[in-house]
Amino acid sequence: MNTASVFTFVLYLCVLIAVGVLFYRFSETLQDYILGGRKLKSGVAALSAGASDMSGWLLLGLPGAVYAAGLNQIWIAIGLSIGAFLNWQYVAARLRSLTEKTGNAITLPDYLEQRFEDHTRVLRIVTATVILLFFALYTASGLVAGAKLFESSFGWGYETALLAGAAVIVLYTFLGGFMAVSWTDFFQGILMFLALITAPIMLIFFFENWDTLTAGVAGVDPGFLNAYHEMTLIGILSLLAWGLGYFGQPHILARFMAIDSPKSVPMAQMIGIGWMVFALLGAIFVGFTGIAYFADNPLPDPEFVFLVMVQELFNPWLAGILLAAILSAVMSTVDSQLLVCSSAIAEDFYKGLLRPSASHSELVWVGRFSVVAVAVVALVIAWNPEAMVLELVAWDWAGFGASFGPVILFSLFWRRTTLQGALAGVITGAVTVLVWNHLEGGWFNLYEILPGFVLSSLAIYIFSIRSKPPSESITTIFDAK
Amino acid sequence: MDDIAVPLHSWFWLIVPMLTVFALSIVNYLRSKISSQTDGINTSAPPERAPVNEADVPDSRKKER
Repeated sequence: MNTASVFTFVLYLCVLIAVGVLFYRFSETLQDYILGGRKLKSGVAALSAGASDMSGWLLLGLPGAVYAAGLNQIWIAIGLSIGAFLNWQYVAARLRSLTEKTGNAITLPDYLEQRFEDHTRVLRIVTATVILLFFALYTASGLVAGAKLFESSFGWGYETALLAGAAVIVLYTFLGGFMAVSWTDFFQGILMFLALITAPIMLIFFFENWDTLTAGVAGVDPGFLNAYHEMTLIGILSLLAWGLGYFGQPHILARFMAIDSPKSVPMAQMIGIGWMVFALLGAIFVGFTGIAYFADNPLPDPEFVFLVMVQELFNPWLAGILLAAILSAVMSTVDSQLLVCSSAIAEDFYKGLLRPSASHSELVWVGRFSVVAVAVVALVIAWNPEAMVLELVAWDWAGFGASFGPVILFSLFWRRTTLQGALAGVITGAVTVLVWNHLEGGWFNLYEILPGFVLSSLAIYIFSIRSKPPSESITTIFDAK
Repeated sequence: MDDIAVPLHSWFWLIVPMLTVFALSIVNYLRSKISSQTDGINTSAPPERAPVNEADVPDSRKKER
């Protein structure tokens, strides 16, 4: 890595920390710290939701998958686009509105407890525990991805890279909370978008015309041009099913809860979906051109296709910015996940179960130190670079999608949903994902989110119908517009 | 011909659904914008309050008065 790239990148990290310092004094209450006081503007909500959702997968995983297997990887992008659209269209405004009406709930466990008037606290404990366990692994996988990038870009040792990356993320999240995370995610989203728009433009000039590019790809393997190449129905359904995961991702739903008004949702949706569609198309195009670009000298690690192309094709200063974009993609997810874990500890366990009368200041500091504590746990998990945490991302996504997605949708759209139904849905979704993952052969090769989502929905319906209807106080809140 | 048809076919499967969700998002935004402007016109002059018909007032309310 040359001096220009290092300078650009270090400058970028300093900006992130400055954002954390800037928002330090705005976190007076826990709602400010973990939900930004519900003052998020459309553009920031949209891009921060996109950036925290996509992770390093957008700039590493997706181009790498297309580079390694060709256009048969497009189905996941289609599934994700449709899932994100439906999430913005049907969940965002309603969730924003209902979480405020149900006692101004600031976390998903808090919302579900109040929505179903659960005086036993079981639903809060179960959902907060699921969040902590799944996100500790999810965060660790982000740290591993970030450290491997630092390692390959700067030539640092893995442990040094891991500690440096985690220190920057923890610092601005610790100081500035949700607003710092959302604003840094916003800038990171812009960087990722610019990277994925400029790279394909440069590549079009490089290959001069479409036929040269297509011929280059076909020269490696003609099957790479075909979306159905070596794909089965189960394979296509599995990739499309990723879109179902959106309804249950706590770090994305937190953006919906934090948006300044339900009326801001249509604009946020337009920005968010536009960002996502063009970013995904850019990432796929980069992977696709990589097949022809590296035809004579294949890359040992497909995931580095974007990184290597950027370093070869771009000016060192621009390459530094684009490298920052890749690390942005990783950091924007890790910071959001740390904050959701912090909210589960501070709001759902500490305030909800231990000290209901805790002061605002006390809760903010519990939240801050929870960020550090979760980061330390994630660091311990990520310390071994050979740990299989990266493979757990798909499983984590399915776990949240199947255990939280159906219960969120039912809680928003079916007034007859009961506490028993909600609990049955969360547990059924989580257990199905856990068990299905270990089964193999035939339909058991289907991505576990699909059976998990269906069975969880069935469990919610059956247990709700068979239990006492919800009280009038619940249905009154549900029916209020 | 087939060599060109296959990749175009695959890109078609990718681009059409993705641009469709983007177009639907734009339409949704424009509809909300128009709807908020219409609301603004309607609420600029508060509607006159209809006279209360005693026969429509429930007995419980009459007792409260």
